[in-house]
Amino acid sequence: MRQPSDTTTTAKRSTIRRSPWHLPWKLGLGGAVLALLLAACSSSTPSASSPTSSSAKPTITLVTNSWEGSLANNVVAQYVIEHDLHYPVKLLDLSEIPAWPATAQGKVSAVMEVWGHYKHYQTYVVGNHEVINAGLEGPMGSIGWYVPTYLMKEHPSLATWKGVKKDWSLFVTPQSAPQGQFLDGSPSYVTNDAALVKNLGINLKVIYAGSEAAQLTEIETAYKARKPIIFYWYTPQYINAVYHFSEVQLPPFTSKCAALPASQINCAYPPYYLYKIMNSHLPKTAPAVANFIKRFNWTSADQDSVAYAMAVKKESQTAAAAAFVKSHQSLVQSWLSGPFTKVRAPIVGT
Amino acid sequence: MTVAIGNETTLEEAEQLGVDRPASPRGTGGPSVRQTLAKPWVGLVVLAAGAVVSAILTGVKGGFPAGWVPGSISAFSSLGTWITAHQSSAPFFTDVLAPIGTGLNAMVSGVSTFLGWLTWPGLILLGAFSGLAAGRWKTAIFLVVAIAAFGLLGLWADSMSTLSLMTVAVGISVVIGVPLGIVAAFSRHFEQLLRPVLDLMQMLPAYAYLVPIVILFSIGNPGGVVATVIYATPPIIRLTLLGIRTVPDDVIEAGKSFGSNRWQLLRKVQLPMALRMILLGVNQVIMMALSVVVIASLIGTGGLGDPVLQALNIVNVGDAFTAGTVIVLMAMVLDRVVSAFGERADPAHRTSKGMPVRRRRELIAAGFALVVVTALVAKLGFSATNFPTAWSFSVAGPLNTGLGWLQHHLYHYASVPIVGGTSNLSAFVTLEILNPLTRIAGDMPWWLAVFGTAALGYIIGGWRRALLVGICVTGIGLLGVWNDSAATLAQVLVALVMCIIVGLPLGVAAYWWDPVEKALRPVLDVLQTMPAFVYLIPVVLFFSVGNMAGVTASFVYALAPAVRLTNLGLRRVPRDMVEAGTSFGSTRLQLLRKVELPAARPAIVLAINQTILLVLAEVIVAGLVGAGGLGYDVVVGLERDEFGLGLAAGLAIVVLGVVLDRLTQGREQRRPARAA
Amino acid sequence: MSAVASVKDPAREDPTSHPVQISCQHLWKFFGHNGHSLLGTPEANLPQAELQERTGCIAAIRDVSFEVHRGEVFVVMGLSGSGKSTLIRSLTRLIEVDSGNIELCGEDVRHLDPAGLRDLRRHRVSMVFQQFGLFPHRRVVDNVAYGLEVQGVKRAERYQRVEELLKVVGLSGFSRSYPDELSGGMQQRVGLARALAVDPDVLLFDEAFSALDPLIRREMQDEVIRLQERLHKTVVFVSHDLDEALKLGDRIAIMREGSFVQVGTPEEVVGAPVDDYVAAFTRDVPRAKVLTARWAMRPFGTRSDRSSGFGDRVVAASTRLQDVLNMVLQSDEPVGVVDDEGEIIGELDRTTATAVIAGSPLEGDAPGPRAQAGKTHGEGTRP
Repeated sequence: MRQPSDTTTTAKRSTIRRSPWHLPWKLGLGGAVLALLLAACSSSTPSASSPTSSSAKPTITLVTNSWEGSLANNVVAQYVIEHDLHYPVKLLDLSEIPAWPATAQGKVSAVMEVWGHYKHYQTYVVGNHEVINAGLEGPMGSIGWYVPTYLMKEHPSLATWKGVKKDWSLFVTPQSAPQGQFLDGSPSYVTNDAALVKNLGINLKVIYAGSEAAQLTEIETAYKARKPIIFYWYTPQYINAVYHFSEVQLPPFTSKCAALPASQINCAYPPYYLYKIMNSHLPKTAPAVANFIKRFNWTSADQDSVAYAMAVKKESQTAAAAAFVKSHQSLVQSWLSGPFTKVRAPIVGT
Repeated sequence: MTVAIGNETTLEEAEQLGVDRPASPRGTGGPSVRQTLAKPWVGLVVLAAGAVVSAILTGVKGGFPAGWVPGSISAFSSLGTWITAHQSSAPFFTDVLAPIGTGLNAMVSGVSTFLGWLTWPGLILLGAFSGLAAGRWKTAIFLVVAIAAFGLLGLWADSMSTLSLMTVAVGISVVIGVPLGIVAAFSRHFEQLLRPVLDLMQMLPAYAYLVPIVILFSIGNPGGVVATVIYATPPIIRLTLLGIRTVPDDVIEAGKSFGSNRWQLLRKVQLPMALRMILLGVNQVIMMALSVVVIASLIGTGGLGDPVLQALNIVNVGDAFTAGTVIVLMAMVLDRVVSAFGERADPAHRTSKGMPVRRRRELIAAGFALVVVTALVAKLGFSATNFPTAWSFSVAGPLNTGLGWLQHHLYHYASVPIVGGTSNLSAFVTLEILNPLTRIAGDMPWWLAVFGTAALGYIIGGWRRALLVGICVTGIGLLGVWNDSAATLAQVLVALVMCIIVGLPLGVAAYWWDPVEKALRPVLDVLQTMPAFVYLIPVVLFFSVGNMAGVTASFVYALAPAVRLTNLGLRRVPRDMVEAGTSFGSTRLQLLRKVELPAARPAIVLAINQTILLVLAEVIVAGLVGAGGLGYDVVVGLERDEFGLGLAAGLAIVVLGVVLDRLTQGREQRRPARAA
Repeated sequence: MSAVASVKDPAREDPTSHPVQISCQHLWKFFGHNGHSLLGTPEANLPQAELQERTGCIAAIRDVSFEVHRGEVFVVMGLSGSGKSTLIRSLTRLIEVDSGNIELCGEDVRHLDPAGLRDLRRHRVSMVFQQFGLFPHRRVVDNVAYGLEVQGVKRAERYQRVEELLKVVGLSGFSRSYPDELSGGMQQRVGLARALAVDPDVLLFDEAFSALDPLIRREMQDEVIRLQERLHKTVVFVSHDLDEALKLGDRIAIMREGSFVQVGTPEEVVGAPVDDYVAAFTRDVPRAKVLTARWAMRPFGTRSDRSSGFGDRVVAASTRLQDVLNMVLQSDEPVGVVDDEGEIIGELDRTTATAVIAGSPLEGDAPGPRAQAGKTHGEGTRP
């Protein structure tokens, strides 16, 4: 509380300037803003995204998911759509799940790589036809258990799950103690590993890394120190070209096993036929692009090479895509005018 | 005063919040009849009896009885399914929400266009000019450097799209929040209704409701703005309320005694006097909004979250750190600008002296004209919308190398004397502390947990709090995430202890030595505003996937308030008290132990309270680095379309937060008597 | 307690002959949960501590009745917690009492509708606050103009009025300052000017000068006296400072635990405290400075053996004892006391004078104090 101190009539504080927020001040500010807005509106400089050009050719939006292969698909698709079909393309970072309603709403034109998603397929493709199946992407998604190759060489028995069952103690970590640790991946990926270790009677505890970044960091740390580690992994994945991993054989996948409830699964993961989806209006609004997306089809090795160029060699997206297109002229040509591979494979997974 | 970055409650707020509880505004009387009935031991005996009865009825097994869980997860899931099924048909969705989404998108695009026309030289100049208008050279220089850094680090375009989104989201938060705060300030009933809603908005992780938001408002800007507004609005409501409530009684009385009606009182007295607090609220809104930039990018808003996510995909810490730095800089830029306004709104800084008003206005007008001219010249003359990419450079390479070197020298077993490397430290904490704690918490019989926490609540805050806490703990069980909550609780406790062990001494050091305080301030700012996604990889690098990585991430994020509030609390200890202590010949340590720390107790209790809440806010990140628990459940909810699980775990986080908050809030204080 | 600097001039015109401006009858106010339910119960009259122990409530005002006349300065004084601030706030319903009648300027305050109450506050009554209650975000000029502003007076007009008032309270030249650029005393001058700006009939002072330094406090008290000589407002002044009460008050009400213990002129309160509580309050007051010859004299009429023969040893009845002391002490013979018409109405001798000043009880024949004692309760009248 203030102390009433002096009888004199001097002012006590007088240091900081201030000005009241009075009308003329506001007018000046408002005028300035207005001038700028007017200038913005009256502009006629054409730009790639200005309304006039986009009404003729809509912007094609492709979803980039959280793995580098998804980006590899997109940069190449972007390059071709922009250079050969002359549509503007925007790549949008988006999680897998939101990508479905977004494609249905038309906020997204297409997703170039989809793993499974049976439930959404039923809702949006089979159910309300807001999304259409745009055919296979080419690579076969393969999920399994992996160990670093150096470890496999030291312990050849790890080639099958039986060896893992015997040598589980190699993988003990503080997090999983007293059991061995099985490092699982991003929660967005389908995993049966908890059921597998239980049903196969392996003394491993499944630790969910929670994100691919965390999982990869952990794998790299172990790899550099050449320590034992066993983890969930998949192809296509560019990092497979950097590190050498060997797959552990699980009991073979059978349709009978696939029919079991999730908690009773005791066999390897099914092969994933990676496919593409697009908004159901795309064939009308951008027929050339829709045809291209349907025909787009390449191999795991193709995708890995582009992803590798970007992630490891630090090439820019455009450069990586351009290099690929240049060295794969006939493949690219087949995307523009070739036959269209119909989907035959079942959509699996959740 | 510099307004602290970050979303902690300030000490003043806490003090004031602490005393505005009892309903009777002038009452002194404690309910003495009830007091005599409610001797402490009576309550404890009742609670103990409750525990024994429940134990007999349900058995002494550990955990929460599975049969009691009412299937909340599947109920939430069917809600999600229902929304999906009806999003394109129900009129409410198509006729109300969809146009809102379109409107939001148009607003963001508008701001974006405006920023495009301002051009980068225009924006930098505007920054410089705002600094000068606030009368501060240093701020102006900082603003120029920081804004230029957006471009120099190669992220100009992303920065502009984040800035557009922020502007709209913050604007909407203020437009919604201030009136709500005003209404709440005048109606205790409304405030009581609002309070749990605010807790929910603030503590429910955005992850848990991203999917429905996308379905209802679509991806990109609309969804991003809605998610940001939900998360960022509570502080301005709270601070508006607080600002109006803390206008001194005598001033209100003076206003009333001259016959002001309600509206006059609000407009002429209460709002002007609450302005500083409201601006502090705006500041907090900005900080909160910037902290969800990365999460918003998960639903396609683009902006600075994208480079962070992309860097994570290829495990490139340097890139993530660069983008994170730009987010921090943007937070600081907005903070400085708002603080400058806040200072001028502070009655304590008003003065009749200084530059003549007319001259000032002229200068300001001239400055804006200069900005406009610059923008026009840059735009029309040089088409300089985006920062020239040739000028930008990357710091990612050296950063990655440095981090690699650090990991190499710190991680492995023999690399550090005694401790034996961070991996050993991690192993020790995980094996000896976290795992046992998780087991104990998870295996604890439900009745022991419920009645035990209720007893704690009773000791701290009487029957009402005991009841609330008991209901909340039961609620966690009913949500069906008992064991994951136990894991999260264990992590929260360990992170809290780490924060106390590190934070209190740092706070004391900052109190003793001003240079330490000065040096710590920017570090704490950065720790608190740097998106946690950025240090997701480093914590795994040093502590391996698992609990310890999660705890460390939380610890880093929550350290700031522990240090700040300790320091602030100590600095607030009345001078004469310290002088009295000194005059008896106390040593510095004696003074600290016997005088200063006890006197700063309320601040330290508040520090603990805030730390817990911030740690809880970080459980998502814990989930992303393998610590499991509720955070992982919420992430699964988004990533694997298990909306029910995500929401249940999200709500459990909120409930756990409420429990821990109420158990650390200290006793309710009564407003001092006023009758003369 | 410092020495009394001055006391209300007893010779001043008597305002009690003026019409009643404020009238309060049987006011009650309880604080605490469900306090109003205590009305009319036996508990209501319990001592404060016991009441609080039993019910959790406190009685801030208990059965208080009083009247204030136009132009009168009525001081309510008591220790903190005695209920005086509650009382002054209840006059304009800043606090609502639980029961009783309040009449202010002819208005039945308790039954006014909100508009009527606002009207009363805007035009008839103004208040000056202990912590000044200034608006820190407004310049002095806008602080003082506040009452006019909420009345809807145009800016130019109210600024003109404010300039006049600032001159009156000695603050011209400070209209552009902010309150916290002024010293405490100056701030309260602003508060005073603000209260006067609306030209109210009634002025309420709530411990208005308690927060000021003694020196400035005295200055402000003089200022009030000066203004009151010009403006003749009806004033209710709450204070815990007896000196202030004696200096300003036409009448003083001593308040304790919510009740009026004694209401009377300064002389009555000092010279004839009704109980030990009031006596303890007034013990340190230099009685010679407060009490008059009229108060201490032995009035004629009881033993009218000597109606003349004092020669020039006579004093006016309104003379304070300290001024007659020399004359009285010079001789064993009493001095005569004359009224305004020059008629001798009593005598004062050495023994009586010293006894009155010392405050010691007198035997037998009763001078003023005892003669007046009966009148000091309730509506005090002048001796």
